[in-house]
Formats: sequence, C-alpha cells, structure tokens
Amino acid sequence: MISKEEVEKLAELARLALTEEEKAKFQSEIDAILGFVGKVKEAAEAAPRPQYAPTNVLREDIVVHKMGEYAEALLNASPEREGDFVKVKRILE
Amino acid sequence: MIDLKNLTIVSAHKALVEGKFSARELAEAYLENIKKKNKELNAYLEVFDDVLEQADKADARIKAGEKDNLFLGIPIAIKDNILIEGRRAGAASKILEGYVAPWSATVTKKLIEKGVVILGRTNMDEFAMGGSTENSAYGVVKNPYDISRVAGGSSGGSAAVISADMALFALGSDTGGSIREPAAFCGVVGMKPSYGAVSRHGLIAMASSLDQIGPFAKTVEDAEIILKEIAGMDIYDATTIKLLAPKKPKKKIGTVPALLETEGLDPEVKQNFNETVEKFKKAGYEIVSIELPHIAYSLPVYYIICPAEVSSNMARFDGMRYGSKINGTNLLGDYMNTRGQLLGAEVKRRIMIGTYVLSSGYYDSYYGKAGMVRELIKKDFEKAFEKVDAVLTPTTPSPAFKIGEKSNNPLEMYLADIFTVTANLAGIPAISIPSGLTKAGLPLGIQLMGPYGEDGVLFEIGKEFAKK
Repeated sequence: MISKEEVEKLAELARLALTEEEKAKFQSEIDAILGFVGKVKEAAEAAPRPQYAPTNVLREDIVVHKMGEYAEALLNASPEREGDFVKVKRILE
Repeated sequence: MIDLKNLTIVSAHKALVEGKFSARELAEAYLENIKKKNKELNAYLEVFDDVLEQADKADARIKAGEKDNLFLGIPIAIKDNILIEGRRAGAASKILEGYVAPWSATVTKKLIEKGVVILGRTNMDEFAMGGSTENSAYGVVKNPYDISRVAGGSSGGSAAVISADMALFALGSDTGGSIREPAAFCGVVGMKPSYGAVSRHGLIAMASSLDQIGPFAKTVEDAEIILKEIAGMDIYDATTIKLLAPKKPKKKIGTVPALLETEGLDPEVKQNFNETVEKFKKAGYEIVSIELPHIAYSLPVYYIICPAEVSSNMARFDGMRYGSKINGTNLLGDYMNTRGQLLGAEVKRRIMIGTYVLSSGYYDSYYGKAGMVRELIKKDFEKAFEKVDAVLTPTTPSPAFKIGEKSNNPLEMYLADIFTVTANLAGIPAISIPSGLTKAGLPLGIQLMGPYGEDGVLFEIGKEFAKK
C-alpha cells in the first residue's frame, strides 16, 4: 500500500497543493491503479528491449517570424504582466 | 427549411454551389438548432459571435466562382484543445480561464483558409483526460439520444454536435479512444488517423506519443474528405508522415475471439458485433480469427504511458505563462496553489501516477516495462496485417452509460477504453462506424483498425459497410 507520506512526496514533486481529503482519496485510488497497471511486469518478462530507431527531424535554424510578431499576444496570455515582462514573484532575496 | 439531418459535406457543397441555399442561410439553420439544443446538451462551450460574418465571406467566394472547394461555407465545430487564433482556448480547464490563442493550429489554419465557418468550440474532459466529459470544468455533455446518459469523451462535445445537427463536421483529438468512444455513443463516424498523419501543432498536448487529431462526421465519405484535407507533413510537428498509397485489398477482415470474452461486455454489444460480422460476410469479406497475444496488456500499458506523458506535458501549466493563477506566499506557492486549485481531480490523479511511474526506483518496473510491452503489441498487429486488411472489434464494451455511473471509480472508467487504446499504442489508424441501436434505442459502434499509414483501407471497407 502506498503510504500517505509517499502521496505527499509525489504531490510536492508534481507541484500540487492537495487538501487532506484529496490525499486520502488519491492514496487508495493510486494504489488500485498501480495494482492494475502492475500487470505489465509479467508480460515484460519475455519482451525484448524496444528497438527505437529515432530520426532527427529538424527545420532550418532561421528566424521566420517578424520581430515582435507574437510578443503582445504571448505577454497577454500570461496571468500577470508588467510592461513588456511576465510578472512573477521574486526568487532572490 | 434546410434538411440538416441528411446533409453531408458533399450534398451541402452541391446545394451551396447551385444556390439552393447560401452559406449564411446554412449557418443560420445551425445557429437556430444550437439555440434550441445547446442549453440542454452543453456540447458547445462557446458559440462564436461572428459566425454570420464568416458565412458572408464564404458566400462572396462562392459568388466569385470558387466552385470546387468542398469546404467553402461548411459549418464546423472545433474541440476546445485545438487553437484558433484570437479565440479563447481552454481544454475545458479552469487553469486556462482567460487564455486566448496567439496563433492557429495547423489543422484550423488549413480549414480556415479553405473557408469553413467555425461555429464554436466544443466541450470535453479537462485536458482530454476522461471518457465521459464528466471531467469538464464546465459540466457534462449530455447524450442527444438520452440526456440521462453521457455523450462519451473526451471529445464528447464534438460527437454530440454532429449527432444533434449542431455542426456538419467537427474535429476532436484521440489519445486512447477520445474520438471513437464518443462517436460510438452518439451514433456518428469518428476516426483516429495513423500516428503522425495529422499535425498536432496547436493541439494542447496530453500524451505526445499517443495524441492524434481526427474528424467527426455523419458519413465515412465525409470523414475521408476531412482527413484528406487536414493530413500531411508539417514542419512544426516532427512526427508527421506521408500516408501510404492503398495496397491491393485481400478482402479479409480479422476478428479476435478472445476479446469478445472480455468481462463486462454488454450482451447487446456482442450480438451487434456478430451481426456486423455477418454483414461483412455478405459484402464478400472473408472473416479470419486472429490472435493478438499481448492485447490483454493494452490497458495496463496505456495507463502507465499516458499518465507518464501527462505528468510532463502538464508541467507547463505553472500559473506564469497561460491563463489563470492563484497566489501563494512565494513562487513555489504560486505553482502549488495554481495547480492544486485550478486542475480537476482526474488531471491531478494522472499527474500523480505519472510522477510515480517516472520516479527513480520505479521507472524500470513501470514505464520501462510498459514501453517493452507496447512494442510487443505493435508486433502483434504487424503480424496480423500480413493476413488481413483490417481488424474488427466493437468500439466500446457497452452503449453510453448513465451520468455519474462511473465517475466515482476511476479504474472502472478506464475499462471503457479497452477496445480503443490499442490503436493509439500501436500508432495505427482506427475508425468507429455506427452499427445500429440497442433495444433501448442507444447507438452502438464497430471499430476497424488498419495497418500503420494505410488509413485509406478503413474508408474503403467502411464505405462498403455503410452501404449494407
């Protein structure tokens, strides 16, 4: 059984502030889901390592947009802006 | 009055070109229907206020002599996770409240250039996670056949608007069945193309090795027309491929007897499937029993890979770059509160599971193993397609379920994806086609899966089936 501490650790890693109620609910649900998906282990016994053949699909490294073409739209997409900056909390004291 | 019920892309185009009705009149007919039905069905999150202006532009182009463009003036709907420049996009999540798309997805750009009339954006499960739209932050979509039942999901809105004649066709996205399952529940055609057939540039990503955009339509022929238009290589999506030319058909369809022994398979679904098999026999197809030895592991594999990719794709929603934000006492608090309070339960659940299976110590036993079994499933299909043109299954184990029936049990909800997730894992194309009604009058669908890159096979077989 996944512990409450493990649930809290996962939530912290995932940057999720959870209520006590959510933690308790997720604890039992995650446990059930992990039990279910754990079945892959039996099938994987006989499986070869996947043979991925990745190919790089690259486009030319050139500027295709006009200067500032999307700047306003992207700045406006942020929850808080100040002038031409996205506003976030200070991280250096 | 325009007969919306029997309208297809081809017949609407013909009427527009012959001047039987204008694009404006067609758009008005759909708007009228939306006004009547959307309040109850909750299929559209937003109906755009410039629909008639879009239609007028299409009329001007038709008048100017543009006669061969099938899409000109056709009223459509777009799922809320596909960007349209200058319009709200939210993936039905509170975390994207206020977000306006700075640019259009490749698929919307293509269709806008063709002169479609976009009626609005459709409701869905939050960030496409779910099979019933009960995870939408804006309420569930109701099934047009029975409003006490779900329309399916995650693209439930796109399926319902076609079923209720609130658009002529729609786009959705399918990660584990999110086009095919709602299509089956609402009695329309829904197709998940081969992985890479359609550019995802501008689709809000859920699980990137599984996501694909595809069409909802009333007929197989319409779905084919739409795919032809939206498919193709795109410099902005490195996974895009060119579809293969059709091979000489073997006239053989595979069925998987073991799958029909699935626990919880509705007897009416089984009966409908057997009737479908008979129809294919009458249409001159040989039915071949095939084995897909690893298919039983599809759901476990899917519910490892999907949440793993979800957990990394969702990291971008941090309260800084898009949409909304809930303040904390410091930057970390901003992240924690924004994500903790503005994301819904299923999204958080998948992020947590994804974080777990990707964490050091568990990576090999979950994500690593899932990747290996995924390869085996892919190989199973490759072997099957040496013998048959397509594999036939029911689309879903049951018809549309009651609203609330599964919403308290995530695992039970996941089981509804049993027939659909395999195509996403294997990257192969799959289509759901209406195959009749239950005694209670609920739609059922059958699913055809084809070889990777050979999406055309499904349309050929599907059209023959629809004729019967």
